[in-house]
Amino acid sequence: MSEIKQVTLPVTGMTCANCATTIERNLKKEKSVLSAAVNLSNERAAVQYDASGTNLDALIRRIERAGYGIALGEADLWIKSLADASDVSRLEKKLKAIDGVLRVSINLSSEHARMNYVPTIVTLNEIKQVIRKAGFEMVESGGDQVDVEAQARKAEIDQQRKLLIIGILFSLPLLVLSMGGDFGLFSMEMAQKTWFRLILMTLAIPVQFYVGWQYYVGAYKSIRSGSANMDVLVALGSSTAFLYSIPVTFGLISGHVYFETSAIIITLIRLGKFLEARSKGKTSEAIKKLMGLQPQTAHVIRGDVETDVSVDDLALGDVILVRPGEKVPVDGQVLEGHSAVDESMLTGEPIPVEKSKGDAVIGATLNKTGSFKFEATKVGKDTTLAQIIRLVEDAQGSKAPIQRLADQVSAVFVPAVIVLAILTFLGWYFLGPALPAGSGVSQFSRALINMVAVLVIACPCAMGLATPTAIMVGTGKGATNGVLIKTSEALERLGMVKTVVLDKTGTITRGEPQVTDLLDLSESNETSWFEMAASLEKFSEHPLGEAIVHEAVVRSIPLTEPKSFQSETGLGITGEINGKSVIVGNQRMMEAKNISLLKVDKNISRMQQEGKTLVFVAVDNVLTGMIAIADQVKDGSVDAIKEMHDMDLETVMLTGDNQQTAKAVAGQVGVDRVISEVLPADKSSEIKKLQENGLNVVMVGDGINDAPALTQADVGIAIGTGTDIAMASAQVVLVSGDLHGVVKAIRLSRYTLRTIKQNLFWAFIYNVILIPVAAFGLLIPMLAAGAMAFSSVFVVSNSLRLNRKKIG
Amino acid sequence: MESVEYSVPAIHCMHCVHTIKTELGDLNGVKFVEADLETKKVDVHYDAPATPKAIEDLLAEINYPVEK
Repeated sequence: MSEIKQVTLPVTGMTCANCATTIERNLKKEKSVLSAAVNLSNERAAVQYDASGTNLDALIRRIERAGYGIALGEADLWIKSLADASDVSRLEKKLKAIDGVLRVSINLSSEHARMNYVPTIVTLNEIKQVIRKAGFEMVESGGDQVDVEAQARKAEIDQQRKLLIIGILFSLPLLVLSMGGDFGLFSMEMAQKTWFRLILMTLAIPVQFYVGWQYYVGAYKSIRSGSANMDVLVALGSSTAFLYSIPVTFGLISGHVYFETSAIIITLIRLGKFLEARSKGKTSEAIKKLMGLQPQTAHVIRGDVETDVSVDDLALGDVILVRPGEKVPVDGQVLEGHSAVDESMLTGEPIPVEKSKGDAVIGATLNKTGSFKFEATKVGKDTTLAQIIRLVEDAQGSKAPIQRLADQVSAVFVPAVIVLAILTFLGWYFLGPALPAGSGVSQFSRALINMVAVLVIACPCAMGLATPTAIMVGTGKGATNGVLIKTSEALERLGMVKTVVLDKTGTITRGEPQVTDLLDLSESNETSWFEMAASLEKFSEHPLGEAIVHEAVVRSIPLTEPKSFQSETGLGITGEINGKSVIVGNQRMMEAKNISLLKVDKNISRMQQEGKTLVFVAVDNVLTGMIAIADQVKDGSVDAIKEMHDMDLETVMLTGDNQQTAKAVAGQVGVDRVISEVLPADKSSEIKKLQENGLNVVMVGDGINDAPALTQADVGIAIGTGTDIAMASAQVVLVSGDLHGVVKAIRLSRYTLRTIKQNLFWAFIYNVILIPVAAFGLLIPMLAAGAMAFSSVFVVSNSLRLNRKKIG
Repeated sequence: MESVEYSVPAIHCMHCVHTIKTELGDLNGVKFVEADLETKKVDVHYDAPATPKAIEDLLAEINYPVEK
């Protein structure tokens, strides 16, 4: 069956004349695309395709693969009336069914629905209409979204509190009166009187229809759209008890009244929801904390005059002054001044970082000791802080694989419970043991009340909350510790890894070669031959040369202009300085120039074993010095690797270096295994080999050069990307360069995964145990409601406990 | 593995480089493609069934003809 569709897609990134043809070609490669026409001037691609053979997603992937983007709209809507996981999947289905809506993700605990949409196919208003039609309410946010949200949340909690108080005011006397009859506070006879029962009914009515009204509305909407959620169970359960009691009150049928049961069910579940709403607010506290970090104003220097400007009005290139004790308003580069800046709120590193001219500063960090001026390089939504917030929000909106299980169960859960409840009723009515005479309870009412217990106990709320609340707390905690986890899936998988593969250069080591030893073989002093070597190396672009020049700068050695110089690729550099001929180069260079290295033979082999690279210096054809250069291990790498071992992780170092250098570094830091002499392009296949041996592998690298390996691994961690968070192609990004962040990330993921498992276990076990208990008539409905409220509150509090875990 | 290098003067932006890489990369037998924006050179490593002819034809088809 063919179904022809015509869509227009807004393409971004078209720059050259060939772009249009390239996109057309790529679109036509997709089966079932009938025609594709790309207009370069208005940046639109008109595509006609057969919807039975392909879909919009596939078309967009084609365009993205060709190297272009689609200008997707991004909507983040706050849905107010999501009751449980089955509501979430119902809304998700509705949204996904809209043409032009892609990548829908709904978070039950934050009540946010996020999606991307193609603005040329569907508008935001149309999406909102679909949501309303499906029976959900939205909070319209204009202006400052956080404020609107905070206010509305507060209003919601206030409303919940009001309903709860009314519920308690009516339910408590109701409970006392009805129990009083049962326990003989007053005579059974009085309790059987119609006027007494009328009092009970009067007390029960406001609870049933005012406090509990929301459940009727929710249940109606849910049933109308062809599914069943927890509102249905609550409404069914409490109404059954309430409605059955009415004819009993008027003596139409004989038996016991159950007004207290219906009222207490509603009040207790309200209590649960109220506590849940309060703690749910706490799960997103990390984001609020991050948002609060941004200072409001900045001192901008414009033409020698200092003016205070709102951070929203800052422009790129503005020169900003920061005094001690003030926060850095946006990202930038220091122009003048010197200070120590506390970056712990973003990087998790406790020690303030020294900043002077040329160093990068990050917005929202705290300036400690001195004043400095800097130039703004990133403002508004491009700042590191803004990126972190966006990234964490995205992560919290994403769905962990483990949640799918809970979703699948929830979807069939409510209908199954209703069937079970009916079976319970039938079982007790027809097969129940005979009642003792004069108990005042009929066969019918006993069956009915047991059915109500089953309906009430089986609310799936706790299951729906188990995963998202833990993910929210986990990702939030990560963000405030400099560990940014981009998806829930990464968080879950990181909790399961057994092997940590560490790239050497830039991950374990600093990534910049540094001079470690100078060996003076001359009769004169050290500086003169080193000065000549450094002066020559100033003209080489080799990284080893840079290390030598850097060392000269550190030692304040003045450099002189060489009279001539010549670089010999792969060997070194030669030249003439102060009338002397100078040769700086490796062992082969010295051999080529017939310069004897006999004097330093022992040193050579020792230093090479330590993984150092050696550069020799000869003046007037006599060996006068030797420089050892090594890429030094970062502070903290040794400790971090030791901690990984304590956590039962296997560590593997991956490097392109030769075996000797690799072994030397490996020995220093104590990794379990070394894979050396790996070409950059082969890193991902090495990861694949490890995975083929059945290992769950996390790869830690610099995020840009190691991108393919990071993608191949089960989880990729990009380390020390600093301000380029969005660039890194890893699912986990560490703001600081300290390897300790890897330990934190894994520990956090383990805790979160454990919390999710505990939550799911308790949510399931509670249903597994208590549903049969209720079905066999051993649980009165009021206790069932209490247990059900408790389970949701338990799950949310258990997730909040994550906040107090130490991750190092 | 065989390799060839072509001069393709039509390369003038990173999109061109990307297009050449993905298109040639899709050609059966091609193992490695490097296109350079500065030098306007395309370096292709390939095995059978790819042939220089097939590579040149594809480059011509996507509007990046080889300069002889």
